[in-house]
Amino acid sequence: MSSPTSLDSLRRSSEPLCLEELLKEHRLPLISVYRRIPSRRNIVYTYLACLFPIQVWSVYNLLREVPAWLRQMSVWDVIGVVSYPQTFALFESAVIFLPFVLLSALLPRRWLRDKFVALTTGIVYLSAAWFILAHINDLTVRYWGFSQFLPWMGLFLSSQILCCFLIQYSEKLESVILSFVGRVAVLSLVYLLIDLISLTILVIRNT
Amino acid sequence: MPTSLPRRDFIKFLAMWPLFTVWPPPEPTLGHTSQPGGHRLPNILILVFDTFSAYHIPFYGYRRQTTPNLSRFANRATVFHSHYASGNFTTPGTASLLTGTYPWSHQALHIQGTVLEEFRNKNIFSLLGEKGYFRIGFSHNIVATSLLDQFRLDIDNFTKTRELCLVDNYLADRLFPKDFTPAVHGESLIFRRGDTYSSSLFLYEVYRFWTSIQMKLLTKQYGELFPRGIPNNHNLVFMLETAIDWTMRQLEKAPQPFLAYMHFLPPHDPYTTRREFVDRFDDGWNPLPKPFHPLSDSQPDQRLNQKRREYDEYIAYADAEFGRLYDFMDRNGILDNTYVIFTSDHGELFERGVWGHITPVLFEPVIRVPLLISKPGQQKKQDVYTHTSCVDILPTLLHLSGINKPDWCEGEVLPSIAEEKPAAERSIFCLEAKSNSKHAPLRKRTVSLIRDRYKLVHYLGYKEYDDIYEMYDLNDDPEELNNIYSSRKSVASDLQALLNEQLIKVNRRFK
Repeated sequence: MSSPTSLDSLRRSSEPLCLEELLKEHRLPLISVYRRIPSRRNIVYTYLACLFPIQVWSVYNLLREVPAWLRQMSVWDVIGVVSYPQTFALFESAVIFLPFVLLSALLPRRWLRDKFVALTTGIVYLSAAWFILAHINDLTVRYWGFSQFLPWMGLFLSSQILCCFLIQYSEKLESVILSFVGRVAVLSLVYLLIDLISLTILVIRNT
Repeated sequence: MPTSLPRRDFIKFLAMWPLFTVWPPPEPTLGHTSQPGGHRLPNILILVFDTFSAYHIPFYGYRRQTTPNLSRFANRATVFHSHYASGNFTTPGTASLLTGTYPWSHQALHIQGTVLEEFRNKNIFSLLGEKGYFRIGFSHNIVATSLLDQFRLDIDNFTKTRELCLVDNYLADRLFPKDFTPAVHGESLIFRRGDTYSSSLFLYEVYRFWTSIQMKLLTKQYGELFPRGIPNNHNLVFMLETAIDWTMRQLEKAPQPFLAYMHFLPPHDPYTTRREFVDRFDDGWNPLPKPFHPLSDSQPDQRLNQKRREYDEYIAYADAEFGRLYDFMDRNGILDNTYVIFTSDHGELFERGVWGHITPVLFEPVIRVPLLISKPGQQKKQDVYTHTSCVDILPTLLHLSGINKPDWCEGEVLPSIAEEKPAAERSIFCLEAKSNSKHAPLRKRTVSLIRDRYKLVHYLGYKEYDDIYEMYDLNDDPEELNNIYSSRKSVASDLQALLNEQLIKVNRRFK
């Protein structure tokens, strides 16, 4: 992966030109959809950025439990236990991220594709903050009815719309997010490696 | 018509003679032992109702009539009046029952913990399997299921918890059957089945939304029958009725002799009793208030009494379902060829500021559990007042099947079943060490020693309650209100020496 120093490269990267031309040549109807899929580089960077909060939350909660597990299991079993949430985090990050790629392909370019990295990252991180709040107040939230839930849902959606609006119209905010993504992606690579090792451990333990 | 017996017929009669010596079969006795020459072994049915405190049963002295059906059963069974679990929650209690050893030996000390590897072949299923028993195992409680899973190779019919549940969202045994217990731990963290946050940042909320919809649908269907909620635990939703019906079917069709271990969750909390038992014990009765224990979480008495009432009403539901099973067994002659054992893995506490059983304390209500054994064809009640422990069940069953007690087993054959008289003074232990490492000596734990009329409790490693002894006279003070540790120094030091000797022995393995 090239160095993530150039913000413009993240903004304007459009790798799949060859395939695009090929599609144009054959006049396939999917061409407009395909053209709205973000570039591979943007996908990778954004995925890594989205993986980060999911992993941090997972690891934070794992570490709280590890001492208790060590008290009752062998080290190999503890490694096994840790592997399950780690592998799940990998799955979760994919489940959270892929709808954005799909949306990007379906929505007009200006809405998401042009600022895919910043918008997706902004939405995911803001959601992460809201969901952490929900986790912390889980014992209260779990007994809420629809009427109690509704105003918070409205607040959540409003904050998301505001976030998208700010990113769309503030170059500075976009730059800050892109700069953050560039840095965090490197760290997420480590997490990704851990996840892949966890997946391997699961396979070994279950075969 | 010839009156003399022809020679040929006489020889045939002689050939048939051995059959007459075994027909009709001898009356079974509670103490009948080995079956030489392949004679029929008795069936064994172990019914464990989780969290069933002996303190809440009228024939053990409880005020409320919680168990009319169990009382009917008691009238034709041997009732053990001083029977103890080996721990105060499911893992140690169940593991001791299944292995005949105390928690310091099998080392299943933690919630969802498992026994040491060596006990995979040292348990009730493996040992009775050698005698040709068809072995059935089922548990509603996922914690006990982890233990059964360890022994699964020795269980012929290991029925999964979900098969008898209305809803079971567990994935571990579906996706990772070969790595069940670590997978359950991992899954518990992902879907927050403990007291921690879920490790899943986003999808947990989706999961919770999904389960709440499931619960709403179930409530729509069964809410009228269970106004306090449908029986559930750790996201398992079940009806005891289903499990009892299943048990009946097993008893009918299982190859004989069988050993069936059935572990039902009620009356474990939440106390979601059936409609007809709601408010049954709204009698205004409140037991004697007891002072808060330093290790309690200071639950107010009013809340404890409310919970106690709900618990009693849930017991009444469990008892009603047991009654249905009992009538079925009676009707179908199962009681005539089966040892039926009714017991529990631990009790429940509603006093001294403690509610439940996840607690460091070991007062009687949380460790004294019912034990009733009905021998095949037994018609009269028999009472046993000697102290007994759940570790005694395995050697007793081995004795009934003609197997000698293995040297690693820490239990004794139960009195009234053993030929010889029990030792006059026997020590019964109970251990709570869920905060202690499995791989280290017991440094943070509560241990109790019951011997004769006294009970010595030692707390070690707790903040602000470290290395403290309590002693009670269970005869004069069954409510354990007066700590006589300081006033009866000579008895206390004798018991202390016995306890220390035992603990030195069990801690030696870590040196």
